[in-house]
Amino acid sequence: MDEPTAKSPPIMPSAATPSPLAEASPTSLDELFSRPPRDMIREDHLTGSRNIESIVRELRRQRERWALDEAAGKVRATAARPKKATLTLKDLGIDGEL
Amino acid sequence: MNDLFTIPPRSSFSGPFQLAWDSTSLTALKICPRYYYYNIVLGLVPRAESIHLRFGIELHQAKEHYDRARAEGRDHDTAVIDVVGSALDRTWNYELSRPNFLGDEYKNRFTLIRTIVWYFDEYKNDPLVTLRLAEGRPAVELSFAFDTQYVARSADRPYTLCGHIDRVAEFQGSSYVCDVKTTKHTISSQFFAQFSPHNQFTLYTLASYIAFALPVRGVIVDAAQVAVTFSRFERQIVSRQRSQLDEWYDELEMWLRSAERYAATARWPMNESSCDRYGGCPYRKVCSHAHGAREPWLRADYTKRIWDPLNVRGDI
Repeated sequence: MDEPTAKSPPIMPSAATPSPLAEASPTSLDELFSRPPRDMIREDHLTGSRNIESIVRELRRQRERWALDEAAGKVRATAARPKKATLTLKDLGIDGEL
Repeated sequence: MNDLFTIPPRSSFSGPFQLAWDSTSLTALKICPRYYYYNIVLGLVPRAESIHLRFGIELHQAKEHYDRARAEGRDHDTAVIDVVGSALDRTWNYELSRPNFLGDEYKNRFTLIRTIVWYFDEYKNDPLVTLRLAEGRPAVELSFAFDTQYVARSADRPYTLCGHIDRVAEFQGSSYVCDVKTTKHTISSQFFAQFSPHNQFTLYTLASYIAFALPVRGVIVDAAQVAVTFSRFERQIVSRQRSQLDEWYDELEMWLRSAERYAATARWPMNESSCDRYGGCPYRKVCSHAHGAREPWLRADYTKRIWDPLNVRGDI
């Protein structure tokens, strides 16, 4: 492994260099959600990293994918099924008329 | 003195008599006097946090934050990043270094943040324009409190109506209160039908007239369906006619007199027809026991949360 030299670029991310999180993957989204938010926000302000922006960007990507899937009819209904407004006798295990 | 049944002193109460009413307490009374007694008068709430309530409060806070930032001139992306940072911060327990909002499969910290981002992007080019009040400030985060013509006999002073409105906006030449409601279920016409009639929305429409001199025509509801893998949004207008506001205000006196009578006699009757509604009453387990056997259940499963409509925001 090469030793860093005086000419090596700084390891600390800055606003001028693209953040390593710029291409956040769902895995890194999990990582970002598991970090203390104030640490991420402080890091964003001090070092120019874009932790919160990366979360927003990845969620937007998810939305675009969802919109495409929905347009293509791929999204199965994963929503909860509406409850019946009222119970019937059958729901109560009682059949027949009272 | 049994602390469980001690009525906490609050600015909105005089002993057991409630003098300042918000939509939450009035709705509680209308649902069931016993529910109102446990939840509002005594301030007994289930120890387990209501996921739906927490999710709704967080989304409302995010919306207020975003609307204020936009009204102050910040651009969409900056406002969204700010709102997401704040929402992540509010939902994190720094002592335990883990989220303080876990929720369930549908409503949890991740789906909250996703819903926030998707919602503001959905309405990035919102045709609704935030109104400005007479003094010039944007009509967002409006707290109101005004006296009614109905006098509280227990205190010889008028009853007050109070609450918090997220935003009042103009759409196609008319003004509307704006509100957002969440659901796990697919949004249908039935979802919007539940808001007519609707205690909270009628009060907000009335309050816009009286407290802010804004002639609103009803409420624009943004419905957010929060599913496991997506959040979907629908918007609909829920209108209120002047005569409907008059009817609601006229009947308000009867409800206030009922509450007065319950407090004066220290008897808050059960409305058994409501036990199954709204996803099931959180006090059903208590009420299902004989009168003398309820206290241990209340002590075990509920905790005190002082509800003061003049100070607390909790109507989602």
